[in-house]
Amino acid sequence: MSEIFRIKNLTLHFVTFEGTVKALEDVNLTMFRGETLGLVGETGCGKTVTSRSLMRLMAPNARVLKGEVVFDGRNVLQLSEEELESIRGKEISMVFQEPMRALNPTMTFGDQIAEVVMLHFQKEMYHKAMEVVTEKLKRSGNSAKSLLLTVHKRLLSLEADNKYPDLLQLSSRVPFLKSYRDHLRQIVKERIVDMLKQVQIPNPQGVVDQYPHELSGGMRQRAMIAMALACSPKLVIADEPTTALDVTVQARILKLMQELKDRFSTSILLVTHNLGVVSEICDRVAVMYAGTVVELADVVTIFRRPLHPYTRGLIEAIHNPGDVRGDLREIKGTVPSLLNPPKGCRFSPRCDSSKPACKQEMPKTIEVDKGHFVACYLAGGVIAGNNS
Amino acid sequence: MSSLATIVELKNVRKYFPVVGGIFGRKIADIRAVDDVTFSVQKGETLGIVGESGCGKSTLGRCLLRMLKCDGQIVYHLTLKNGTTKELELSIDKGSKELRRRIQIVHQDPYDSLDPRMLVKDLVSEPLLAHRVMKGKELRERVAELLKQVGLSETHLYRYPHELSGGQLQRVCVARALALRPDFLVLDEPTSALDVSVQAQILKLFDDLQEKSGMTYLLISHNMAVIDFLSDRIAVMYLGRIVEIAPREVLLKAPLHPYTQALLSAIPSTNPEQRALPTAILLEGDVPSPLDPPMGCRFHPRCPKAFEKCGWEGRDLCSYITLRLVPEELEKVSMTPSGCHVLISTPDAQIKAKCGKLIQEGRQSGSTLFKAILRVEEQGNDIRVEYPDAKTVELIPADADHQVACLLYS
Amino acid sequence: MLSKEELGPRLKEARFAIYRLKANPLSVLGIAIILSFVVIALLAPILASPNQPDPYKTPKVVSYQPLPPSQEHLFGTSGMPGYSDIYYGVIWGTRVSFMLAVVIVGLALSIGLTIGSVAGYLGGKIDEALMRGTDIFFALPSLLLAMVLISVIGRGTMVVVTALTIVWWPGFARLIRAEILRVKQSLFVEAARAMGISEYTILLKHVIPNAISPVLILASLDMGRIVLSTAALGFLGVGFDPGTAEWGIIISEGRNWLLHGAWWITVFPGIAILAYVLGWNLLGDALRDILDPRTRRGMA
Repeated sequence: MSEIFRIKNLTLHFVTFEGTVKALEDVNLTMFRGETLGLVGETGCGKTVTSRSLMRLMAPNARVLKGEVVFDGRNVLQLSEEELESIRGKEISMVFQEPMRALNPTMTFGDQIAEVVMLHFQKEMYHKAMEVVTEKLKRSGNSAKSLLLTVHKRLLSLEADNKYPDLLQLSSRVPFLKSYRDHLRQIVKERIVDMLKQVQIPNPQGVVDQYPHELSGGMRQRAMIAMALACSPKLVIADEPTTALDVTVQARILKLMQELKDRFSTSILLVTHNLGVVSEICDRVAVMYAGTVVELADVVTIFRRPLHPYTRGLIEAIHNPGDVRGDLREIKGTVPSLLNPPKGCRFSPRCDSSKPACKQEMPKTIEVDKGHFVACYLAGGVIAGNNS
Repeated sequence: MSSLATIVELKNVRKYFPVVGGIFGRKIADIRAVDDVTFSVQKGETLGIVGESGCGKSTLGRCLLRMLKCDGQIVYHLTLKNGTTKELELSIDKGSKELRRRIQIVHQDPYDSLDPRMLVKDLVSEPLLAHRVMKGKELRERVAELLKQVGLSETHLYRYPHELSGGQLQRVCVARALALRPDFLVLDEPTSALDVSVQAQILKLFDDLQEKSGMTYLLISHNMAVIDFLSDRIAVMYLGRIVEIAPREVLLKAPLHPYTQALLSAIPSTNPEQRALPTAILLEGDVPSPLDPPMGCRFHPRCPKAFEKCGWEGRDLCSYITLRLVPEELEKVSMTPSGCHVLISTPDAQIKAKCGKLIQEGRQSGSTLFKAILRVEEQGNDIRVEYPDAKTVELIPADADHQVACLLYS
Repeated sequence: MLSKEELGPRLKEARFAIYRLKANPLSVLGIAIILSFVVIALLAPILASPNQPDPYKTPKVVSYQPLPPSQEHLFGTSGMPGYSDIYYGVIWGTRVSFMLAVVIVGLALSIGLTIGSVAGYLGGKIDEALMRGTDIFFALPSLLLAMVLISVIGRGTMVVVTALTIVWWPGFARLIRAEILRVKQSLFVEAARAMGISEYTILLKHVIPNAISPVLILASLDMGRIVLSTAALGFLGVGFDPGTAEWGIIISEGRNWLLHGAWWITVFPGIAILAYVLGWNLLGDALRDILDPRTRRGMA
């Protein structure tokens, strides 16, 4: 399988009032085309920062100390702002957790999706609009109408090439002439309605003119997914896409995401703290803790044979309806502050099986089995000075 | 498990929020957040109320603490020190300080439910000071004891809320709730804002506390796992009403109401080899607005097992037709549902014919939406469709201690 | 008082506030300007010693023509009709301006806070009634209203204070009301109620402390703006006793002489006003940055 991205030894710090937050430490993550990769961890583990680094959307006080983020063969960390803009939204797009926050409440759904479409498919839309006008020209007999349509076509082609902006501004005020943009609007609207249909929104034509607050959470999330897929991206980063939704709505959205992934031949990076969701739709799972990837394996192995004590702890801390209550185990302690992360393995202070070596140096990630990576001395990692 | 004493009884509790409109601010409709809820909670047990957003469970929790005035009866039976029971009815003894001491609430969002300007020590002392229970050295000792009970240490006394993590904050909220030694604790989504591993800690804390003190819990959550971990009995709410109530094992093994069944089937499993999604019962549409809930059984428009008697009405037919007409056609049609009838008017003969055809085909297909139709009349530009009147569905006992509000079982 | 342990966290917050202040050079400038003015106001008797019974009246310099700045009169004099020593007027005017600002803003803040809190917290008809009342003040231009009030009440500095206080408090009332409406809905207010704490205590202990930040910012900005109003009144010759050491009054004395090149009469007090208002504006902005809930470490 070919790779879609490879994050190599990414170390990232944040500079804050209290000091330097060592947010990411030597993060290694590879994702293959066509898969659904789950990036799991709790608050502060660095999964969001890692996912944002793929588009270089980090906070201004972030400092990358070392590492590469190679997306589709190019190191994102070294691209220019222009090149990044062509990636964001087009080759990589995001679906956020709370649609109400991510959508502009003063714009209709149609306008928001149109924004994305026009940003990345401008030329194509104009050409299609001009084709439509040509068709109408062929069919119109009336000479006055033909003249008008010809003028419209000319205006459209000028706008597509960004020529004569003053002339265009003038025409946009003249009655009859200014309707040249209607052809374009029609094309874009058709594209949007098609997208909304794909995400199974009932009554897509009506929704185009509605505002975010007029629809339910599930519908808004679908619209967000439509926006994310509008440009047929190579990678969709879904950041807690169903956390704010009810469980019955979540089931439908997850199923939708699976269907769309196949239909659009895209890959999904699912960032979440919800292990249930991960188990349902992911192919492989990467578990992060305090800024490092502690375990990476296919989904069955992660749940059936977790090797890292943190992964084990997480799975045991989940209670499923019907489970025996006494089996619920908590992970003692709290997530460490990343201002002064523990020396060595960052999980060692909370780990029941930690050895002195764990506190000396951070364990390197090793491939225990084919495709199963763990960063833990007890899972077979090399302990400094020990030949076991 | 639970003793036979009831600690609180709810009878026909209703909470409507009026919607005002127009220049004169007249009431035009009601949001029926809680609509005729009846149940009781036994001393020492945990009753879990599960439901999705908009079902009214949080509003119900607030009513129980008299933070909202509601209709109906809420009667608390509190045991006094001398062993006798005292009945306190909320609507009458509303602000009763006695009640406020015995009933406490732990809120959903620990970040929001604590005054950001107060130190932890002051936050936990506040209820004790407000009720003038103790002060000075005695107070300090009690606060330290409470913190220890919830797993915090004295170092946390002098911190601000923003210096603590979510889990620690939630513990502070619990400590504060326990300060007055309540008999009855309402837990409103107590773990929703917390991480997975922290959720486990807090759940175990609640479990331990209940074992040690015999407190009664009313647990409100949309998370079935949380409900399952702590509850003895579970009530399922939908659109302001309780649709099923049963002991925990019974509900999980044999849920009767189609909504409960769908809810349980949609819960993701943590076993990738036995995924829930492929066999999940997926519900169509969204939860309807509590402004004007569906007639008859409120779940009927989305219910996979609905039949003719479930309360089909004009609005359901309107939704059906709306999905099958194009916007240009929809502009020319006016559909007015009113109670059991619906009037479809259009001056355009073609559209009228199309509507008529849709109805005819629907009836021939035998789908329940159409099976329930009593009469179809065509007159001029109108088509009038009549449905039978349907009453709201009440909870009926389906088994010992298992009640369901579903016509499938009557 | 606060115990040693309680002091700790509060000091940490204070240190954070100072850190934020230092990070913005403009706010440092604002603080510097205001502090300079405070020093000038305090040292007025030394900087410009009064040799008459009422130090708040500018000494008269007998000279029909305005005299340009010189050794004897550092900022010059204003000639007919004021005959004022500009330097004295500017120095003592600082004191007058500060005192006016502190008293007026202080009173207006207190009144506005009380009325606005009551309206915001109690709501309903009381809120309606109080807000309609304050609306009357907003309907009329504040300066004009102040002048009308002054003409009705009488003359003197105290009259100016009274009139401006009456005109100024509605702004605070409205702001605190809006903030209280917002904080009222917080979960921690609900939690306090559920604990059985009285509404009055909730208002004082929980709601107002969390609602007061924007009001403090407005108060600091108003410390500057009020002086624009007092100077305007002084310039128009309304309210103040003639000859009071007030920046606006001095500027008005220069009206007739401007075209004759006597720039010093208007420019020096003008610069004083400019610097003073600028200083408070910068300070208000700095305060807003510190108190901005999004960039703070957590306290609302």
